[in-house]
Amino acid sequence: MLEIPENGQTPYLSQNETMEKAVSIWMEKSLLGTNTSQTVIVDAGQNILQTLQYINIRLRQPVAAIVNGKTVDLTEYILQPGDNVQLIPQIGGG
Amino acid sequence: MTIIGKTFSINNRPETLTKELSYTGKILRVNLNNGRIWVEEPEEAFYRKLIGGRGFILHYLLTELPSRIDALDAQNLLIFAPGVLSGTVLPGTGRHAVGAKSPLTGALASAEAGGWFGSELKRTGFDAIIIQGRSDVPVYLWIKDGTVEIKDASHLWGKTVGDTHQMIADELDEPKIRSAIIGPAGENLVRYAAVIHDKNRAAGRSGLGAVMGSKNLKAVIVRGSNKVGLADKALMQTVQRWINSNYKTLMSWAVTYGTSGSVKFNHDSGGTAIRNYLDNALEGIENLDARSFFQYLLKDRDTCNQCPVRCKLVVEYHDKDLHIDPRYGGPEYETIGAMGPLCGINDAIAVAKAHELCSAYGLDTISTGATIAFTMECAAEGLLSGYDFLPSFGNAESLIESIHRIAKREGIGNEMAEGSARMAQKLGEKAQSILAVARGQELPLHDPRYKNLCAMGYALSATGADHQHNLIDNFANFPGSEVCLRLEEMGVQTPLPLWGINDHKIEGFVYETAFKNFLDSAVICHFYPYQFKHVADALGGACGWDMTPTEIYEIGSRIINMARLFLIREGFTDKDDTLSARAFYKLSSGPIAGRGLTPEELKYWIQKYYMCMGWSNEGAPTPETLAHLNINYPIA
Repeated sequence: MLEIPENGQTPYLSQNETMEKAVSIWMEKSLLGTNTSQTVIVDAGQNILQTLQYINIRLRQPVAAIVNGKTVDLTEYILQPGDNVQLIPQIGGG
Repeated sequence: MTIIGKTFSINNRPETLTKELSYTGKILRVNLNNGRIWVEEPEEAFYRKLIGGRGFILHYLLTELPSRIDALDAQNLLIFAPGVLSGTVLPGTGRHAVGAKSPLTGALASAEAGGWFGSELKRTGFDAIIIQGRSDVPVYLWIKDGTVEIKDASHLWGKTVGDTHQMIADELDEPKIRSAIIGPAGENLVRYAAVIHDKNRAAGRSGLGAVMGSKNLKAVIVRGSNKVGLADKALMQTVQRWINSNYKTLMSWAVTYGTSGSVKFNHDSGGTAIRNYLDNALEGIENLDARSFFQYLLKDRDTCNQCPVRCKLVVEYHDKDLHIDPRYGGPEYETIGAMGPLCGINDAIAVAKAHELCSAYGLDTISTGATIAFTMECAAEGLLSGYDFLPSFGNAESLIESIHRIAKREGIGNEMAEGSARMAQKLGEKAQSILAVARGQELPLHDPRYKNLCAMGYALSATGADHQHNLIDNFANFPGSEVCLRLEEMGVQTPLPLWGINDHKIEGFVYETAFKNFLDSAVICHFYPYQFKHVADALGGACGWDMTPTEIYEIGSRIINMARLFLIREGFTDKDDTLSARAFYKLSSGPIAGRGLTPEELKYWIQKYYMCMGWSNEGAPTPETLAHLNINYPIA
């Protein structure tokens, strides 16, 4: 099931008639350079990078995408209706 | 014969220097067998070809170290090598390299540390220090500008790193010294003992502290007043201006939380191994993330020479039973990963205490945590018996007790001090099946099952598993990332696919690892988002050299090939370019369920890499490759 964005978050209006056909993408705040994380609702059918480009969201650093609990390739995984996506920063070293 | 009191001095006062270059052309040599101290003055071509850091280390190992000696033999060299960019005004250059033959792996030891030691060493007027031989009694080296003195360290032997630093500062009456010190772990020849700089910056990996201990050398202390010059100040300023304008955006993660802010994210995506690679999640992982423990552990932020980012942590904690000393800084991602998830521990105070102890004793936190995690699984499997103490997964007290015992080589600690690979060799087949090393060095906390190109980098690295001179797959899966921008400079199409390895990813690996080896020679912090063009301009600013990005790549490639020659000379073959069994263990659930390479896949892609590098099927650089890169060392 999709999670409906909470107050203060910015929904993107899916072109689908029913929410069940759409995809929810949660983006951690530091990726956006903002004080709050955001959830957007988008159409399925494209990979994550294409989708972010389409809705004009530019992330600021490398990310990992976790779809329904599994880490996926940003460039290869095609979003499926009903997917829950988490985008989180990827840094490390030291 | 006593060497205490031997001194050497060159006319190296500031007024004698031209200040027109970032290097003085003077390399300090010290022989601890007889106290002889002298200076070499290589030609400019030496600097342009090797840059410093790892380049210098490999040059001296290839030309002067007898083949296949024991790394703890007096003949081993211990090299402190800043690079031609160290100590300049360029942000990110407050680093230097330390090198030797490794007592952990028998291969190359080449580790870098931040802070001020490297810059201060440059200000003494020396571009590097090469130390050979072994003193009969504990000594330390005191270098102030052009004057070098060998001093008695008998009263310092057995002391922690922090106490040693303070005692030397007091006895020299020099509160602003910069130091490279070993603790009890180095003295006791723990095979992954570290050299700790300024109390909290480790040249951690591969056992450099044990090499220093084997030489009866407790510390190298520097204080310099010379200025590191620039050949073209205006050119250097163009790079400086670019990074100063952009670091807050491009390195926002480092400015806010540093690497410790990545703990939960790396865990959630499957990037951090848990319970010696057995589990897919650690309950309470959020406790170990900076967003949680900053509230009650963070005392301050710290930085390195000429770095505005201040990514380093200083933590402090006191209650009636436990104190965490802020002199030792704070735990970074790798330390938290190794002491926390890898050991099944979610207690941030215990992990911070473990970090403090490793700094005080002088231990590499990655190998320490990974060896403890391996021992925890061995104990759980019943592979160890007859010990009064054994550590167990999730038990923070046993983590702390293990560190004390490793440093002092007490009980099971005496076995753990040899590293997990030697333990597994003694314990047999079952222990071999749970071992996670490459070339005998414990894996860093970038899970090879998630990051498959990084896994290949672990297998190929001349130092044993290393995440720094490597390509981390997910950093190249995002267009516009600094890795992708560098690869695009070299004509590689980006982004790279996340999973598996293919020809395209190998091409990216070849360029990126060359760049990283350049950084470890120059010596520059890997966190800075410099590209080939930036460092080429920085070399112009520092040394007056007109370099292209392609020449930067060739310098890095030369250093990788030199490291390969060193491996071959020390008896390694293509069969050693692999990972131990646990790195191939596939998880059945969680974010990386079913992911990972097979040994056969890894071997196949390593063969492709050899071809890409101009190496034979056995992984030896061909004469044509060596000639192209102007490499000429005997490898017999």
